[in-house]
Amino acid sequence: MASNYPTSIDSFTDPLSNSPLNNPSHAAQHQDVNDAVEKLETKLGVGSSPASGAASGHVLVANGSGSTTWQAPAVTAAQFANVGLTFITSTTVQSGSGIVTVSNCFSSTYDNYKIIMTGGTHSSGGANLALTLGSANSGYYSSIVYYLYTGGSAQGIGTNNGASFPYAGIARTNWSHMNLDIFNPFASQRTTIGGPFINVDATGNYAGFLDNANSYSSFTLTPNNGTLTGQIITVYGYRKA
Amino acid sequence: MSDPIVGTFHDALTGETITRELTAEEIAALPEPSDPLTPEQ
Repeated sequence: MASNYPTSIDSFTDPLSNSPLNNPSHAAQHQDVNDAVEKLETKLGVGSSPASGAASGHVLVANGSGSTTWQAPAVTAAQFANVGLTFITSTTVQSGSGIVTVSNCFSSTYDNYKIIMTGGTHSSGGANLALTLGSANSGYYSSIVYYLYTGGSAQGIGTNNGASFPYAGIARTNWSHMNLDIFNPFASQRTTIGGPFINVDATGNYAGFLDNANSYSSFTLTPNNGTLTGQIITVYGYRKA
Repeated sequence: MSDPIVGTFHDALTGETITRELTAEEIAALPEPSDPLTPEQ
């Protein structure tokens, strides 16, 4: 039988110690093995680098034209294990909420976080969402620079030692937006925040910091008017080495 | 007398989400409403 590899794994007939040369056919046995070995060689490719010369974690990489080489992967195992975002928690805002608090979402596991909010409805057309950390109600410094879709000059609003980050997100009649990075909320150092601001009349960039060295494990979102329903809030942690 | 304020409270450790009325202390701690972004005059 001809080797069926690599479509499927072959099943050879092994001769017994007392098998005659013609049952199974000795020549056919050699043909089968030769055929299978050639297909394995084709699969692995040519190239002189032996596996014994490869370091731990190296992978076999195709170089094109049928040759392969053992080499370190472009992304190391350590990098792969520590890259990207890790899901922490998600919740849906309950009907008619005047605030939303997410507790125990910041910890020593991560230094930096991303909060995403989409969907839902607002009771009276639209609101800005203020972000507070823990029970801190002072020391918030931030500014938003924005540009109206209708044109004109770029404009801005500053918050100097305020009681919140007042433009952390928005909620509209049938949609919402928050894409906020939060840096070091759990560490005993200044917490900084930043992200794009998107609304129906303008977009902008929002950033700021909380001027104390306290550790926070929770945050609260408060609309500047009306109530929220159905927004999905998800918190991710930036993986770290 | 104003309507009670309801809040959504989610615990990331337990995954539990509850809804309850805010206490007087929690209401007093709410941040002042922000100004809307105003068009250029």
